[in-house]
Amino acid sequence: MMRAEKVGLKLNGRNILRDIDCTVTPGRVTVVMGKNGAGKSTLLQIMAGQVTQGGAAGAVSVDGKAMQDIPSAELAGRRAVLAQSVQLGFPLPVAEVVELGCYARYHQMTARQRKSAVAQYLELLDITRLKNRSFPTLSGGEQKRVLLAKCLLQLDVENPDHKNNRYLLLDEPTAALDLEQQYRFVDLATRLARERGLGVLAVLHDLNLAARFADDLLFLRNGETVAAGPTTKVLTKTIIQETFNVDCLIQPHPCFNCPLITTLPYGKPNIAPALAP
Amino acid sequence: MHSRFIILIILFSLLAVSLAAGIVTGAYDLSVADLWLALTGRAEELEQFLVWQVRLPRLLMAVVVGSALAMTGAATQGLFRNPLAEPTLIGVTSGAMLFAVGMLVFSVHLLAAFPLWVQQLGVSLASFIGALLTTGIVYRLAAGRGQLNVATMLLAGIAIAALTGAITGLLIYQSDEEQLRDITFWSLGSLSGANWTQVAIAAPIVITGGYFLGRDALALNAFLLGEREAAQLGFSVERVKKRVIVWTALIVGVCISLTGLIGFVGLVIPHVLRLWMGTDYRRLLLYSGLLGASFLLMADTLSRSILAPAELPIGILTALVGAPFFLWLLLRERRKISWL
Repeated sequence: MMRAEKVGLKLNGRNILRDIDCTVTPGRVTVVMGKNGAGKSTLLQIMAGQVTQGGAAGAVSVDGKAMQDIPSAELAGRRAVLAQSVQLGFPLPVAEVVELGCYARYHQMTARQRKSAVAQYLELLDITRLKNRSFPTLSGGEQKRVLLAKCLLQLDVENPDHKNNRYLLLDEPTAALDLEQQYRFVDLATRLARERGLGVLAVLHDLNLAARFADDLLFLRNGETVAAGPTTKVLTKTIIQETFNVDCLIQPHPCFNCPLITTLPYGKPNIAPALAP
Repeated sequence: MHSRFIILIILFSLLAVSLAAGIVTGAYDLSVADLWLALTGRAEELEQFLVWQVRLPRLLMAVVVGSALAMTGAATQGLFRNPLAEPTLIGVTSGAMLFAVGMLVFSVHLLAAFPLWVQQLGVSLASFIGALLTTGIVYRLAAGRGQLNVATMLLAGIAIAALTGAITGLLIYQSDEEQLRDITFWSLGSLSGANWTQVAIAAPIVITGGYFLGRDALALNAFLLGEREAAQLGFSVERVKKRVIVWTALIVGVCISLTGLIGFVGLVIPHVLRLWMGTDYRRLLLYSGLLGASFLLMADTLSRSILAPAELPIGILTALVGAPFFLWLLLRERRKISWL
């Protein structure tokens, strides 16, 4: 279990995040939601162990061990972060970007093993055809998949006999993806949790994606927790209202076994200003 | 695997050809047969001396300095994620220049009583100290709360370069004719003073430094995705930054303090190789070293032969030959250079 306890971040006297508890459980998908600037990405960075400057408070532990006590090379094998976007300093081919994933165990592998591992994860994400393309020339969706392949190689998810739990942190994985890709991407992350026991933490914007895939939800507003808990319990009208400041309608989904949320940003739809005569 | 092998063969052949061209070319006409005799120690004294004490150390110095500049250029470009980066930007050269000029101007008073070689050593030592000192200052300015901000470092480097440039200008302004000549020659770089002592000083530092830069090749690859990604992949980002900067300062400091400023090698060689074989630092550092060595060897050979028996400062040659070639490459491969 990966656990953040009472974490916070203060920058220039302003509370970016305050007293947040967050738990990521192996095999489950935890989704963080909130408005822009609510502190979602900051929380994710803290849980990734990447916020080290002053002003950070609280503690993050990985399977009972304090995160700062885990050597960075070992930590790399336990948790991987899919960044919102990556700008390469100089272009690299896709295969080399994915290979970066095994750099923490570089010297324990032979060149051949690394090559076949890269091929394996390209295959897993169905992007073998992109292998020799230059990363910056790919579309946003393709780049995301390449970066995810790198993360999965980093966690060595295809290796069944692993002694440690592994965690995948996704920072707005659906940004810059088209509708179908968004769905497929979150579906894939969920399957990784269910089938390979990864603990997944994702920052999402789409309430319906969260309703369909999340096991646990954490709602943030202005750096503070609005509600946290299993999706079935906390996905309610009041909490959504409180988090996003929008009215909504929650109905049973016509096709899936989950709720369907319709947001009503202007209150009642028939008096929406844009539609008013 | 195959293409990598071929690239290595090409680079090594280029180095061999440049070495061969360098050793047969010069003001004194040496036939290949004489050369062979000299190399095997059976030639006449003059030729023996010429080959062993003049040409060989000079060639080795070109190899050492050329590879040093190109390797550190590649490393700093990766560290700063900036195609325009070169060792100049971390303050090494500006500091070296200031201290060397200061020494050249004041040595009349300070070292006048000593023989010429002490004066030269004084200039080298001063510029080496200057190189490390300015890099240290730039580093301090950019490092806060245990983290080094590379963008701040770039800007601080530029500001410090402007400042030291101004002081250097002042010194130049009040120097006399002869000093002015010395300063000009120093700032254009030259391998004409190369000897075994210089090689013995520079080679170990460059080889050790090259080895340690090479050990950070994986980290430099990870840096291509940004520092945060590199940390996430398991690298101790701050330590990598410190190591690369310290080694770059040491390598470049020792080279330019012995040969003066030689521009363009560190900037251009890595880009030429990137166009040709990509940016993978596991190979780029070694290849840059090889190509940089060949490039400087060729430039030096040209500088000795164009106006023979006079010599052209090598800095002029590296820019004169390198710049048009690089421009040609830029125009031809414009579409491939997405990073510029």
